[in-house]
Amino acid sequence: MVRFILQRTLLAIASFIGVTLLIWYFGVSGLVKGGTFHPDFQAHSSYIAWIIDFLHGDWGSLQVQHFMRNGLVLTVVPVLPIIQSFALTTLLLLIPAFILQEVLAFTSGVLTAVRPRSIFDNLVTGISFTLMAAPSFLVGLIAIEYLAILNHWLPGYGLYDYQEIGAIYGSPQFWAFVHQHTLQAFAIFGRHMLLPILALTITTFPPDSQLIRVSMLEVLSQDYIRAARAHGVPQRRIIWQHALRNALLPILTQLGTQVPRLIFTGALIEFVFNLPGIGTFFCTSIFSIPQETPTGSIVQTPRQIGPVIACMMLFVILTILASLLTDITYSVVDPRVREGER
Amino acid sequence: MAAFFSSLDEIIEKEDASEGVNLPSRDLTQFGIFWRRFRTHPAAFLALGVLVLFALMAIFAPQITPGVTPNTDFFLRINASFQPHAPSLDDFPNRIFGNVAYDDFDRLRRSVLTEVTFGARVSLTVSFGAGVLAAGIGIIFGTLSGYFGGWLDALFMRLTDIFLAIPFLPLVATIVILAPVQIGSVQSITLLFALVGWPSIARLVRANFLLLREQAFTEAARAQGVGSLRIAFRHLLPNVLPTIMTAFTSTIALFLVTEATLDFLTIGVTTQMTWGNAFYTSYADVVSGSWWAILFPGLAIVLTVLAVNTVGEALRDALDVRGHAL
Repeated sequence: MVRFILQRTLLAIASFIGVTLLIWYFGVSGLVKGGTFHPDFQAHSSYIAWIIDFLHGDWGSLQVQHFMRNGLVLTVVPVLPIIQSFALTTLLLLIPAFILQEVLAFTSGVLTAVRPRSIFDNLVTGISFTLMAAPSFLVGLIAIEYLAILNHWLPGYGLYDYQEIGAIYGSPQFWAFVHQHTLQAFAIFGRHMLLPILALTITTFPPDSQLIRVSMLEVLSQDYIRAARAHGVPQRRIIWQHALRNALLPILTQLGTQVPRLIFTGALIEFVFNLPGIGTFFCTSIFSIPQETPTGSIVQTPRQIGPVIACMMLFVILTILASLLTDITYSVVDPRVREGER
Repeated sequence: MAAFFSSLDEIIEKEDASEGVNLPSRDLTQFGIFWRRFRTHPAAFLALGVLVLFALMAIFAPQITPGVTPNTDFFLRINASFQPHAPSLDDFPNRIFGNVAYDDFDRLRRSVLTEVTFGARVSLTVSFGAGVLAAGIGIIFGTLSGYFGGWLDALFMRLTDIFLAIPFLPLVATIVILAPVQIGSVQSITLLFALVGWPSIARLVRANFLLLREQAFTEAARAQGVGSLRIAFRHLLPNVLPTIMTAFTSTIALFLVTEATLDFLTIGVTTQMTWGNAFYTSYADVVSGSWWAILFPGLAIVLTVLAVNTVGEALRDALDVRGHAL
């Protein structure tokens, strides 16, 4: 067991090195090939230097261009503090959405598997397929449109209204307010996050639900389930104790890819709802916005590669961690995997 | 005893009848078998109708919305779209059917109908073109790897593992962002999707080949001296094609949705209007109340993907090679 975990950890580190090498080659060293000045290039001239700096906390920089009368002013800001301050919002979105999505997927998957081809099953499956057909941000956009703008039931953007707190997000006054009036702050955040969490859950639960349904249907047709039923085991115990445990295995293998998908879809939802999170930071830094120079011409501001690479590294780390956790959980749940490693 | 056998007959007949097809008649061509089974899925015909409708909209887009040049540089459109615009109901017909100039900045002319019809061109081209290309690449690789095995197979498995470990959308987004060249035209997006999306079909082809390789007819062909490549491509591959139909259509659906999402992030097709671009440019209008600006492109995407998936399911049922009674 310990050897299995060690082996998987080494594999995770190797894939981390491989992926970051690719990101470095195409992203960081590509800054040199692009020919434009970027402060990150000065600091990192080799992969080892860059990755060591990364692990020490230098995650790149964000440069803001201002066209002034005399020339171009570049303001260079380190990226890590920005990401740290945005992390609260992202966690506030992703964790409840993940929990809610798993609960919804399990309940709908199991309930539709237990009553196959019923009206309930057809309804839920139809809704799942329709939701899977829509791009991830579309559900969020429609939810905003209907619930927030046309009906004013829920706020449709942002983490909080300025009037409620009186400070800009990330400023010391903001954090002071959150530390002093924690309950009130989280009530405000909760009310604003209700719609994004709902949108993210609705977007991401259908594939899991279908997977659970298919796997449960397969398990419920097995002989040992029929044997248990013949023995007189109550149906509820059959479903939740015997069938579900065996149906979990295919879902666990998918969990490794569900987490990166959840993070990426969460980034899109954050952008659509204007939440101050890491997702919006990533999405806005990949746009290249036309800017007007004092002479009147329109110049295309190049996309901010520093935040893009930092967010990608974060994404890579979380993905590798998620797949490592999935492997370990899989070995705990399925004894055959442990035996196979002996 | 007799009752037992007659009840068996009833069950068989009921099973045949429940499929909605009659017992074998004179019509035994391959296509006849396929058509008879396909006919039992009325939803698929509706779906095909929807797809044909969108294709016609795409082909005749300039005729449907006359006087519009859709190939405006996308970045100019972004700037022009963020204009404060108080919506009113008077806008509604104009915004759907008319050509609205937003301001004198770049003579931008756009309406929701334009976005849907011209966007259909790009979306359908990218998804179906990339789907066919990806299927082609995947079939070739899967055939070679599945039939010949050995080191080729091992290499292939590692390669597809890398591609399949990361979900398709973040992978393509990362490649577009970090690419040393600007990937913004329809052709380059199609090529990129094909080059990144072939592994899933290839894995399926390879899995089927591993089964078919052990069959008796393969051995018979080898015994007659048929060359390896010929066996792989002329004898085994046609047996595999029906089973990859569903994967093919769901790949097309995936490409459609991914392309729309990439366009929404402005990293997809940037040279033309697409359905994803429509979401981006109309976001400001939607927030200020013009709900129709995302309803119609959104409906277009959802209907197209549902149609493709429905046709795929019907094809899977119709091409089923399990071989029970017609």
